[in-house]
Amino acid sequence: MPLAIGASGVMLLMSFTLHGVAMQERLDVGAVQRQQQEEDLLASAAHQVLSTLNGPHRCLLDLPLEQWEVGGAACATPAAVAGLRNAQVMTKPVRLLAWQPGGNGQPGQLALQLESGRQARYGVRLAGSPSQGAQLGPRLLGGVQP
Amino acid sequence: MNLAEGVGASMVLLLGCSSAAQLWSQGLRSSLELARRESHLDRLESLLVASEGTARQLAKEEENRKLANPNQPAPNCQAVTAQLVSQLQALPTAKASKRPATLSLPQPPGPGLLHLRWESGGVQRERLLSLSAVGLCREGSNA
Repeated sequence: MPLAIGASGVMLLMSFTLHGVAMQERLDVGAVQRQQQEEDLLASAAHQVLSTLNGPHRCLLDLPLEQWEVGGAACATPAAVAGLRNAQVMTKPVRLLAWQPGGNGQPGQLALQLESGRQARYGVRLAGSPSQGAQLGPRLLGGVQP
Repeated sequence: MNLAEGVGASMVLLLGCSSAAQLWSQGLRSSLELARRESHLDRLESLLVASEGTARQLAKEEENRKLANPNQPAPNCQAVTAQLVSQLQALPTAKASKRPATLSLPQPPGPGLLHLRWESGGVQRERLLSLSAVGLCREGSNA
């Protein structure tokens, strides 16, 4: 009898371990998926903001974010600037933290933040003059920060 | 060991074995399912990277074509977008994999944007792609 109880106990313990490993893997994959969704949202936000800046609000490209309200009045209403600062991207709110146009061969920088606090900075290449638009760099500058 | 003890020990062993087998099979099934999910996620990641790469490559080709033939009129944005979409739809076959993947294009939130939704094995990733931000349709023709 003690042998049977011992053997059953060992088998149960081993199975619980395997089950535990599987549960941990499930949590890990879930975390990776959430992280990827946030990266997608940040990258989408960068594309959406640049699309707007390359379109109707092109004069903002030349100004740092802090000067948009005053200096950007020529091409963007206060409501449009507010909409860019606090954008809705695929139904989720995304905050525009910073926009620096760069200059002297330096790329511009676009920084965005999700509701969860996750942030990302992207390099932006201005093609000659603002009238030629801005292109998003192929890579993140600062990486996605939690 | 008397008969009662023998029966008791057998029952304990049987119960232990059956519970262990059940847990074992659940854990194994779960691990296999997760491995499958992970491989679909990897596939989608590579397709997303390839999507942006394809758009940038097309922009570069357009730029080179424009430099080589400055007098030739540039193709309109709709034509370039259609060309890009057809190249994106061909990506799953170009990037040979055992995991099939499909691309759908929901209504984008604004002009000059493409909403890419890649799906593989019940897992999906979606991103917005700005044509002007990758160097396509830069002349303000965000059709």
